[in-house]
Amino acid sequence: MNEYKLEMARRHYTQGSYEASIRVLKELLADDPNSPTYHGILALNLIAQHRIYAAEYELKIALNQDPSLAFLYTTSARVCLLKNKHNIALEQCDEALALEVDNIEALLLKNTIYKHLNQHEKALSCLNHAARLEPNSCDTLTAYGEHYYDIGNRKLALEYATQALKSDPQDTDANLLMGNIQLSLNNIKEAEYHAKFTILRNPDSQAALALFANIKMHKNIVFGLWWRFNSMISNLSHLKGTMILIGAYLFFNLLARAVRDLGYLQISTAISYSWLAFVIYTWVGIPYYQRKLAKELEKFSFNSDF
Amino acid sequence: MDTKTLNNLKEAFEVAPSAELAKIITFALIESGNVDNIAPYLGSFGSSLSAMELEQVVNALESSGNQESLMILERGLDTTACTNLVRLLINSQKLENAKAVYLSALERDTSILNREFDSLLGIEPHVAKLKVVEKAEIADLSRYRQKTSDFNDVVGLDRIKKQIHKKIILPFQSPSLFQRFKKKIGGGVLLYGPPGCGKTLLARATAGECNASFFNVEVSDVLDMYIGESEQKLHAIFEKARNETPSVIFFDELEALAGKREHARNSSSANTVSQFLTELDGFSQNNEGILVLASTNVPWAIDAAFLRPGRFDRMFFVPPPDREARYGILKHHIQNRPASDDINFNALTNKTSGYSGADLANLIEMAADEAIDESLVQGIDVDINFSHFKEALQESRATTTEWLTTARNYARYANDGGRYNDVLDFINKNSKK
Repeated sequence: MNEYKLEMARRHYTQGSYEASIRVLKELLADDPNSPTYHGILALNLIAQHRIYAAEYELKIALNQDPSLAFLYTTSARVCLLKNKHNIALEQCDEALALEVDNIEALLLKNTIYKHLNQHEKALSCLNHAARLEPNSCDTLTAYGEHYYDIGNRKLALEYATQALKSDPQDTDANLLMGNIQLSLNNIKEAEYHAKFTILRNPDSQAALALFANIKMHKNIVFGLWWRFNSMISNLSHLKGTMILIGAYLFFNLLARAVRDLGYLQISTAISYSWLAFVIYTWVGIPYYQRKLAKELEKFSFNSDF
Repeated sequence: MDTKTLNNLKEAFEVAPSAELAKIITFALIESGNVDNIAPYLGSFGSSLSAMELEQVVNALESSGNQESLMILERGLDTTACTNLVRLLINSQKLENAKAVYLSALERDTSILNREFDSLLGIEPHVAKLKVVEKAEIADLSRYRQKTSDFNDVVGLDRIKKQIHKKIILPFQSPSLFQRFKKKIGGGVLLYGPPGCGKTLLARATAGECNASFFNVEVSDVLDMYIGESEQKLHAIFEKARNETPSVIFFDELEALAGKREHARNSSSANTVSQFLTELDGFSQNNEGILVLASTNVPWAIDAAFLRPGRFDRMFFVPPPDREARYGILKHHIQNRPASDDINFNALTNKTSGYSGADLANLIEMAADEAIDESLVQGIDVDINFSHFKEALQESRATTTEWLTTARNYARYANDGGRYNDVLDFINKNSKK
């Protein structure tokens, strides 16, 4: 029964239903609170939900229970990558590879980390290693596509992205890559299609929201900037949002005071009011953006004849 | 331990029983030779006893010759300790005691089930399983046999009904004609599409039209926790169908049994897939006259081997109901309910594009709930009227759109051999441009 539930949790995770996966894993953990596998998969779900510290906590428990599971190190590397701790992330990947020489996930993660560090040769070498092991996997093909996209070879990038999508048409990374390639090729409609698909599958993906904003920017630069600004603001955590509001308050206040000290009283008053406007905007504008986004992301819609 | 301390501990246990306290008192009593007095504490050990401590307690009970105490001990132990107890009794050749404890533990906790214990204690595996899950014997398949319906019970889906009639039902009805041209009767047909759009109903109706025995097999009927058992069950189902030709076997949610083997995390799933393929091929048996119908919401999750010629080589897309079908489904579900004449079914049909048959049935239920609420508030019997539907429409939504969004990507990028051409045609024809 537990094996079946674990399979369900995994399936939910791969399908992007993180809440459902977490619910199943919590049931499993109630039966066996010390299982490193359950904690590890829970961490993966939490990472997908950008709950990095919670994921870190779960990984700590899992690694204490069983430090010989390679996937715990690759998951840990993902956390480090999100926290921009690239060197530790590399170490974690090496730990995974020490346990399993041919751990494809670790190799692909190393490829990503090296790309972040601008060490493209090392990145490519990891990718080639992964490709030798699993040449037709969606992850490997997407990674090649990203590599060629980064170095400006759109034709090859498109070829790999198409192959990746053929291997797994639901993969968010492959769809995102295809969206970016299509935008660079000026195929706006196609780019929009893939951006929307990616956001539907992973609504928190900043990269997908950025792509969508870029598409909007392609049509109208001001509107695109507005779109980008809102996507960034609306995806902030409560803590970060509050900090930005306090920061903005201090900035407006100091600016207004400095301008007033210079003798420009009217401008100072205008700046004070603009702070108010900013606060009102965060209250009204963000929900408006979210409604607009939801409408844009409407899934498949039927024509009136159906 | 002196008597005063022991008595204090006994009093403490009476006030607040705990596993640790029970353990201390029990061992104190064993040490002092008062084994007959340990009974009140035996049922409280939980997981607190190590294997060695458990052995000490069992030895003490044995010296007192009280088997009933053994059962009290068993009832208070957790799964691991219980397994240890059975093993201990087996190792010390007390097989009768071991069997009694094992079967009693099984009634309480199925996770203790152990093939090794079954064989060592001379228990038939399926007897142990009956004890655990109270399932029917594998060979008894009568419960799979189900009543069928016919195409008149399926509202809409005319195009697919015509296809099924031509490609599946006719060979069953006029076997001689097809045999003359050396065409096989039966084979495998996969129905796929969004959930709630009538795949199961259509399968049942197909069986009815074929005038064949219908075996509806659910995943839980086949999958078994014992290695090799799922394969045996699958074989038994096919055997039963072969003995009752013409017959239709229907597998709902095929992906659970025939999922891609590279995603299977244990070899037993892969073995089930292999067995399924063998049964479909009918190498050692004759599958003539058996139609294997299956349905799935996720055709892309099915192992490619199942879709090769000779297996599920005919795939039918069961789309969401169109305007006409929605009208029919709404009318069908409203009949026999108190409904007002003001219900505008055309308007409802227009507002429910993308709704599955199940969504429409749910819409009617919601409207009925609204009518019941209003009846309760007003104190008079109110019929279902159009305003109830308006309320219900605000709370319901089409569930097929998500499936179509996903399927569109598969149809665009993974359409090997035109597998999803029907989906692509449907999308191109019916999506908003």
